[in-house]
Amino acid sequence: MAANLPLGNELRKIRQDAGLLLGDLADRLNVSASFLSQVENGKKRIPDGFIGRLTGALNLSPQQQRNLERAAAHSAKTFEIRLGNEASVNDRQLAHVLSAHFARLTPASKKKIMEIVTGEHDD
Amino acid sequence: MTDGEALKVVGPLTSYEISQFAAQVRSVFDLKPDTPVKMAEFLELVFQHVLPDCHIEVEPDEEMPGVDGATLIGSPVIKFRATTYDDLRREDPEARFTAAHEIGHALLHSTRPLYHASRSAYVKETDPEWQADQFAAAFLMPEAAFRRCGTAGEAMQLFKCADHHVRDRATALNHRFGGIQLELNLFPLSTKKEERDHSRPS
Repeated sequence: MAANLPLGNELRKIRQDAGLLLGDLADRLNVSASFLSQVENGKKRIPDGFIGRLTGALNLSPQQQRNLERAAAHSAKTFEIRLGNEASVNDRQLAHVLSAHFARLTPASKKKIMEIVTGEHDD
Repeated sequence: MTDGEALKVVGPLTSYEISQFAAQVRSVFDLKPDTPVKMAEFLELVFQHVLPDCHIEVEPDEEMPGVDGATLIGSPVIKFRATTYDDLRREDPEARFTAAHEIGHALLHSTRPLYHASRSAYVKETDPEWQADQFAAAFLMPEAAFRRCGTAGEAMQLFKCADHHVRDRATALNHRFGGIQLELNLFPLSTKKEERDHSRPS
């Protein structure tokens, strides 16, 4: 099982560059060394808010944080869309349609959605 | 394992060959012979420069029942049970030896073929566990510095190793400590007598 490996590899690199042992970083995050090891080795799902805690514990630069977030996105197999209590029917329908039909979207459609959401264009 | 089961064996290495190899490894990392290696730092932050794919994994105790450490054959991943890892960070002598033992496996066995042999054909020089133990002892207790130790206690303190590992190393090197003489010097009989005299009720 290696679901989180891109994140794990990036995290291990940042940790080692900072001269920290697994146990040192685990202490800073208030988790066990075995838990952090399992995150690094792709055996545990990344808990909510974990990247933020890592950013604080390692005093990461914005670029390092972005790299971790990108790696986390590449690592995850499932994503949650959190809808607040005030979510409209349209919001709920959009979330449902996206999750239900994501696999059937064409690459061009996905690119278009990405452009809409991030505001980034290739041209 | 029953008597009829096969043994896992590797190509033979003598104690001398392994000792020489361990000395080379220390030399590559510029480790001073009379300074104990900080094993946790060495494993996690230094060793990867020689084996870039090598990393350690810490498993919950219940996932490694009765096993302190393990090295995966074919990929140099070194696993520790959580308790052993915590002990290693505290420089516990047994955990330090386990770590050095696993480094021995990673260096000596992760890329070498493993064979099966009949249990009746046991030869210690082909036993990967024996080889890893020899490596650990030689890596943690370099010969020249070890021979300068007057007592087992001095070696234990200098190398942060357990008593039985120090005594095994002494046996392997055919080294006799002058411990009895030194201990007598530390507590000369005259002093003891004076102490006894002073402690007598007047």
